[in-house]
Amino acid sequence: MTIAVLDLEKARLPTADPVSVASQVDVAADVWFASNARRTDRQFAVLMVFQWLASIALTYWFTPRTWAGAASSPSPHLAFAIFLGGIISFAPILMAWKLPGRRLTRHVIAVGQMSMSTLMIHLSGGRIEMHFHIFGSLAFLALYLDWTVLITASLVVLLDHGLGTFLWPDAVFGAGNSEPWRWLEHACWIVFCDIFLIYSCIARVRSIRVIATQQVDQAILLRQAYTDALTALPNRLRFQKDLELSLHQAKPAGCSGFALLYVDLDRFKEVNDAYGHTIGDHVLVAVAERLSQEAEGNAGFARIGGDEFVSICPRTSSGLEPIAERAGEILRRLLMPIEVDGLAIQIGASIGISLYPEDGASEDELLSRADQAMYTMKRKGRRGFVFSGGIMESRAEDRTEGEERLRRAIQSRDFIIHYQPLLSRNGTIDGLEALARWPAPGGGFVCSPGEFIALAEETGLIVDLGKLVLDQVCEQVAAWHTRGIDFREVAINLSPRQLEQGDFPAILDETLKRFGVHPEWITFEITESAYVPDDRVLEAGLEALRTRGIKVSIDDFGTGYSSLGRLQTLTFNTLKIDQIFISGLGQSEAALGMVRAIINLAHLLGMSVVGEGVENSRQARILRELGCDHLQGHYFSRALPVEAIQEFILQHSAQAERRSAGSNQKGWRPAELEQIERRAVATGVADMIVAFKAGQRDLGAWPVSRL
Amino acid sequence: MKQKWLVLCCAILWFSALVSGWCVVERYERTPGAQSRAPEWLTGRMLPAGTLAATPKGVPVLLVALHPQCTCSLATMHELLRIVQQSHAPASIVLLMYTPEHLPEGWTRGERLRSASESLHPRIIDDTNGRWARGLGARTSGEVLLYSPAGRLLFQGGITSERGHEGASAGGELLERAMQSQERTARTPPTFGCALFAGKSGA
Repeated sequence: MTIAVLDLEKARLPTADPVSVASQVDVAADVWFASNARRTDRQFAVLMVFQWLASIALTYWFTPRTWAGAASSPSPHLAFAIFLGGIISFAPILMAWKLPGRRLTRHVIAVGQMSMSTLMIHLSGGRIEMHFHIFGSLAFLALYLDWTVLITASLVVLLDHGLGTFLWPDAVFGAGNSEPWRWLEHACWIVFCDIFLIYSCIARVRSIRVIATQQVDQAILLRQAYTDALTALPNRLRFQKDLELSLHQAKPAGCSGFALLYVDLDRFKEVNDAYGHTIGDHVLVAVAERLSQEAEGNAGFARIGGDEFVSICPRTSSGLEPIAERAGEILRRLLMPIEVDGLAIQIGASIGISLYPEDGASEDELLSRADQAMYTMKRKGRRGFVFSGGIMESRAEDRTEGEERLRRAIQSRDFIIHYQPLLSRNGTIDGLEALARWPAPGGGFVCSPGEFIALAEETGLIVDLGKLVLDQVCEQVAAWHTRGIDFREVAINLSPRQLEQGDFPAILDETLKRFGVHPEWITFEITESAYVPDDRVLEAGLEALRTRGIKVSIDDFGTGYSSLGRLQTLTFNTLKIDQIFISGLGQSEAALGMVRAIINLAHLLGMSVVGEGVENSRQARILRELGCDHLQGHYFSRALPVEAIQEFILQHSAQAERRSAGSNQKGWRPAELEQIERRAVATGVADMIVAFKAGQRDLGAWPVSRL
Repeated sequence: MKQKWLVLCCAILWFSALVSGWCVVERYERTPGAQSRAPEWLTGRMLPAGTLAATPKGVPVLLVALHPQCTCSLATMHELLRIVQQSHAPASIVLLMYTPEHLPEGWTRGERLRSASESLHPRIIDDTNGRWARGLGARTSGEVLLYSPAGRLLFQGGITSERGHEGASAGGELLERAMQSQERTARTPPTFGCALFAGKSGA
């Protein structure tokens, strides 16, 4: 007996819970029954065709003609066999052909088959041997394993005999034996046969369900052996088999080989730490879904580690472009925020790609090379992909082109600086963070800061870019100072590569001097997770800055791998908590605990604390309550161009003045004014602010709807 | 939904055609052949010369009119064999085998009937144009006449329940009773079979 085996690829059985197993047993059994019904329908269709022809032959053999003296004519039995046999057989054959597997079909077949049996008894002259046809038909109908079909068949026979007994009792049971008990005896034999067959059917159905259960169990075990329980993606074991198969298939000469994509999520550990493992698991499931969607039409992904996914990508004659495009598409999908329990978690990925046969001929070699390439990408700034060492040409072309554009942009000073304010707990401006932007000629930007900074880091252009940013910021700071705009201090992101340059202190001195910028106006921010080959280099660079009176912040704190160790060995003035922790405030006890601990730790070490990425009032309130010294984020202001940030600074200065005055002409309370101004900024009612600044302090003149 | 109704209508139509077909079959199967009244007493003139004289004395005479081409009568012969064996009553069996004067093409002498009756050891008479059968009032193949040793009619009729249908029948039981009791039966059961004479169909 064969039961339809579950399709492990399509069946989704992430857990072996009883309900799921039971439903899968039902599915497997139903599939088998449907298949059995269709098969039996076909068999009956064939049987009925031959049966019909046999009944004609039988009639021709028994009664070809009917006689009246010496004259004869074809026997009406022949007509009955041809036409009535045809009518009987037509519908079951048609339904078995057109509607196989349907319940109605098998009942029609049952009626047809039993009618045919009765007809053949008539055509054979009621021969007792022909009555076995009825029992044979019942046995054949039992193949459906549907007891209702046997009931239908029996009803047809009993109806025929019942009517016969009622209308022509002598004909059916003979004159002397036509008592009711004889009819009952006749019926009892049919019922006996039915009971036997029905019992057989039920026993067989039970055995099929037992086998189905065993098969489902086996399927679950197989699935668990080859599937990742969390994401339902293939696991490492399955991937190894697939990889082995791919290698085996790719061995023959002429095959273009394949690429191994090794995807590792960026900063997934921080997500787990900040939000807990439950949220982390949800993120992984979401990532797996995205990868599966991306993989439609391509080779699928397997999860081989905590946040590590791999895929085998066949190579074509088009070179490496399709693989690079696919890697880019994966990155694009993974960069989109993931919604989990109301949280919007942004997570990127680094992809390392190894190629068969260039990077190795064994599973271990290919995996190892892809892994190494992935870590290279991590070191180079993450959120990108890189081919393993041997074959970088294709990627290098792209990089070279991008590098050339970046170099030209730096030379022609195409970059502009946007500034994002840092506010104190009281809402006053404590400083600005300078952020480089690469504007496109027609509006918008050439690419995101993450992309061109990663490219600059990789190509070493970060040194020139950093120099340009330093120039532009110092120039702007000097201008603001001249105009009396109180910006407090401006934070500039500093790459460890710049610190590695021996002439950086000299360049810094020259720049500050050239623009007349006081070192106290400048702060440098170093990303905590930045790749620094040797902490001693970093320490020396920091020391050089400190001796000039320049403050240093550690940026994106909590996202690196040696945070506490660096805090112990290196000295920073400010610690900036990464937004990944801030976004969990108010939603996750773990995030709250982490932020509280970081703030306390920073204060204990004598550092001030900046909360980055504040998105809403709730986060701002919690940070204030936790004692965070400075706040930064879109809730207050996004990074603004120079003109806009000047307006922002002036506006806040005016606000501070009013706050110090404690009242205003219209009698607005400071909190009300702050709310109005924040709305004005958020809704872009710049003219209101200008008017307000220009002296039209009576806000009552403005339509309330605009507020 | 529309297809479901269509299928259901077709199923009902089919079932109706089935029932109608069955009615036609049953009607044909259960329509008896023509019958005439048999003579109350059997005399030597009613059979070929010497036939009666050749029968054992004190034994009833059982006459069966048969059409050699009638397949339905095969059932009669089988039934007759069963009845004779069950009744344990001796009888001199005479088969009047219809034979046309001019044999049509494909005509056989009824070998199947003859072989079926072998164990009865009957006397078979070729009844040209059904002359003797007509004289005995037999019009349908399979009609059985039982006369007592004294020549009195005890039974007349068919011994199958329908056309070519073997098995117990009212006629068969009446004949068996008549053979055992040597008494006249009250009823004349219908005979199912081919007509012995053209123009007057037995069925």
